[in-house]
Amino acid sequence: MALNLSDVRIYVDQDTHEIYEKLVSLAEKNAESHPFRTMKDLFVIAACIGSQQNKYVPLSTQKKEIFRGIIFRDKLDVPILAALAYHKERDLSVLEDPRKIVDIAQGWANGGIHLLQDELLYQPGTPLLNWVNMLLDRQSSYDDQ
Amino acid sequence: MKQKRLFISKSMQRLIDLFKQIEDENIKEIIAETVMLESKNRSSSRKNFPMQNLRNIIDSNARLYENKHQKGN
Amino acid sequence: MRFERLEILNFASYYGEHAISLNCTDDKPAIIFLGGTGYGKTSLFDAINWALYGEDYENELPKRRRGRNILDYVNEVALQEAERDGKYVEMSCTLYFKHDDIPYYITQSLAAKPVRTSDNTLTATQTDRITTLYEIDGAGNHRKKPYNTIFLDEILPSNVKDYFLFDGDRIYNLTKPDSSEEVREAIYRVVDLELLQNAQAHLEQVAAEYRRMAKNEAKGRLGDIEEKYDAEHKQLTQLKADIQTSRTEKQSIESQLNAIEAKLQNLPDTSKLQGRRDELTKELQRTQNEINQLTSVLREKASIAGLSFAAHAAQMLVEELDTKRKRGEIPKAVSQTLLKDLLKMKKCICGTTFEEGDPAYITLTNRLQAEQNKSNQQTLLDLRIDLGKASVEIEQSSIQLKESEIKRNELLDLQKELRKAIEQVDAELEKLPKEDVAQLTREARKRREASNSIEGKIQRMLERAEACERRIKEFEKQREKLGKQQAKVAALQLRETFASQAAQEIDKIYDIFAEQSRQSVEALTLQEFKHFVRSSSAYTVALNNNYELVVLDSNGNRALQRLSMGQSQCLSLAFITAISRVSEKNPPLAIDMPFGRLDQSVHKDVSARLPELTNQLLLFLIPEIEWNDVTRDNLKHKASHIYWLDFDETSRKTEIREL
Repeated sequence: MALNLSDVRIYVDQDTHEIYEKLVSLAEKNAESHPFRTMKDLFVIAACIGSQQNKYVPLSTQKKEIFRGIIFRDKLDVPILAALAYHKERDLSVLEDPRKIVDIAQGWANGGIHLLQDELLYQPGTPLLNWVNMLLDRQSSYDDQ
Repeated sequence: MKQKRLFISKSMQRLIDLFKQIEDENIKEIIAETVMLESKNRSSSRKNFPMQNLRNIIDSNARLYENKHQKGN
Repeated sequence: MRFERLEILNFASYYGEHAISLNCTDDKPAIIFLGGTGYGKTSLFDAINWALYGEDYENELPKRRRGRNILDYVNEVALQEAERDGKYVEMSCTLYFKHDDIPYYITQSLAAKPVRTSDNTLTATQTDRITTLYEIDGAGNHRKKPYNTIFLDEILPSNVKDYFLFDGDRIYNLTKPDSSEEVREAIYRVVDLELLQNAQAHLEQVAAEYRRMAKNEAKGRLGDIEEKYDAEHKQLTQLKADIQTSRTEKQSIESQLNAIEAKLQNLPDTSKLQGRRDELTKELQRTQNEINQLTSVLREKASIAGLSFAAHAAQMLVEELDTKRKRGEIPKAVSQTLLKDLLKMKKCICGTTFEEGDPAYITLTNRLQAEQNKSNQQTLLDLRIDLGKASVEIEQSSIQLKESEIKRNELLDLQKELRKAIEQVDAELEKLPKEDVAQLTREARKRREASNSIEGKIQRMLERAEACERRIKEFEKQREKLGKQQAKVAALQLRETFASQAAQEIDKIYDIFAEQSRQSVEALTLQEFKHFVRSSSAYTVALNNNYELVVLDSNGNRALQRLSMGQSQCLSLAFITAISRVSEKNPPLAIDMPFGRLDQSVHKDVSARLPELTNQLLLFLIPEIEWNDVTRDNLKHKASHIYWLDFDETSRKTEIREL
């Protein structure tokens, strides 16, 4: 039986919501200026980056719901979020509570979103190409090692 | 008197189908009434569009909404 | 609708009363009027229009008929008699028709007084003007009905009458390069886009009124917000108008550019170079399309590859799960299905058979029970497997990301080369000794630059509009919150919201509907074109996004210049008939001199097709030129009436005679 996050609501801090809106667009014609198709995509990436940078920032009381857990991909997003939750707690029992997994992901995302904003929006170049270069640079630094 | 059958052309039907996709019932109703009003007043020899009729359409739909929500409270 | 009869009195060159039957049958839908130039054909066409549309048609006359007005139609003989006898002259047109099987008749009449001008010319001055509409009921009673255009709009809307009742010149005009505005206007009117646009504009106007009232009513902080909200809306409205103006300007420039390129294509010195330019331009477009697709792919792959930032966390969890598995805290996967099958077959994997109650049976049952209780551990096991698969998928996406990026960069480089190559071709064109070629090329370049500049302006305005919309959304939230405290303002806000949202919904629908309509007219135009020009199988017709009627050859190249004059006129005619079919009103078609400007080569196909288009067809033709062996063969047996118009130079009167 797989982990089930379908019934969980996902929140972000009110004041980071603007960053999400700047980076997300469903329209293909906006791909270069909005590197993420959905809020979910950006949220999961932001959480990964927050975890990688070890920057955990719990949500404040001013929060905003941005999507529901039913749109997480079972075989991709869910295991990654589980890993991020374990990274925080170092205890497998955290994986029994879907709400807890998402709360931790929210904290990681809250830490990672500002870094993404800096790298994607405050650099020369289009946000998508900045994002792709960020990934490829990271990839090639691993290849060099 | 013979009852007139309302003729709906294919293009009007396409428009109606597009309108059906509007989720908000209040807005759908306002659009339907507005389009009917426009249709009655579209001749090139008409002098002025009856804006008061349009205000009445908005107002009556708003009142219905207000009454419904007051009752709900 | 079908016309039944036309009665005219002292109208144009028709002195006194004349009655013309317009009755026809389904298999003989044509009514033909034959007469030389100046014999009164166009006057009959005008009579029908005037009878139907009255004042609307009178207002159009100066433009249509070189400065004429309705009083110029008062018959000169009748006017002279009225002057001689000291009386008034009456002029009228009555059109009898049936609609939904009910007979009606409309009469337009005016009384005029003869007056001598200062240079002794006899003119008419209107003294009375009446329009009446009657219905004839089942008992034969004539019942007066209010004449208004609501009634006519249902049968034959005034704003699209030019596509049912039209003259030959119209056929000539629609394929000219600068006619895209007229083409768009036609579609806009016939499918009610005009109506939608008006609805949107009126709703926005009402919304603006409510905003103003809310602003005036609101106090304190809410007052500030309302002020800012109103200001943002005004700015947004202005931006949208400016964007539309720029788009129209850009379309016009692109039309001009297309016309110049078409000219260049056909000049012998330039056709090779221009051909090369066209190929390079198409290649550039194809490259751009590929780049756009790759951009989408990059976005998609990056979203998965980006999960690699969780690699460290995933590794940590995988290590923990593997440790637990090694320690047996997470057992190896044992299929519950296998255990159930063994118990059912009563046979172990090793081959030993057993019965219920036997030790082997009990062991297997306990094992099955234990497996069913271990859902938690199963979750962890599944998680371990999923992490493994996710890692593979992330790695694959990373590889694909890199490949796509390389490919995209290659295409961007290719684009640069193509642009350089196009510039070189342009430079060669500009250097050609023939001045007109160089001049045309320079003109084309200026227009391309202008088009790019406007596009840049449009993009900037779109960004500003998006920012405006974001601020408006923010203000809406604040208004709602503060508005609850001021009831009157809240009521106005609600009304403003309704009107605004309704306008926005129409805006959303408008583009979709316009595009659907364009496609439907395009399909019908192509259909009709194929009928009118049977030798056109090599060509296809398109109505592009700029509302230009274009003809393309089998390679997708523009081919309008290669059509004969007659064929390109047929394209216009095909469009006009497409418009009348889209309206689905199925009205009579009345065409004044349809073949006058058409090449003889297409007379046969056009004259064969016209009677198929409608259940009543009125044609006003010039003998010999338009009523010739070919057209007569096709139209004679489809005609319920053929009238000959005879103009007597001496008496200045036209007589009508049925052949």
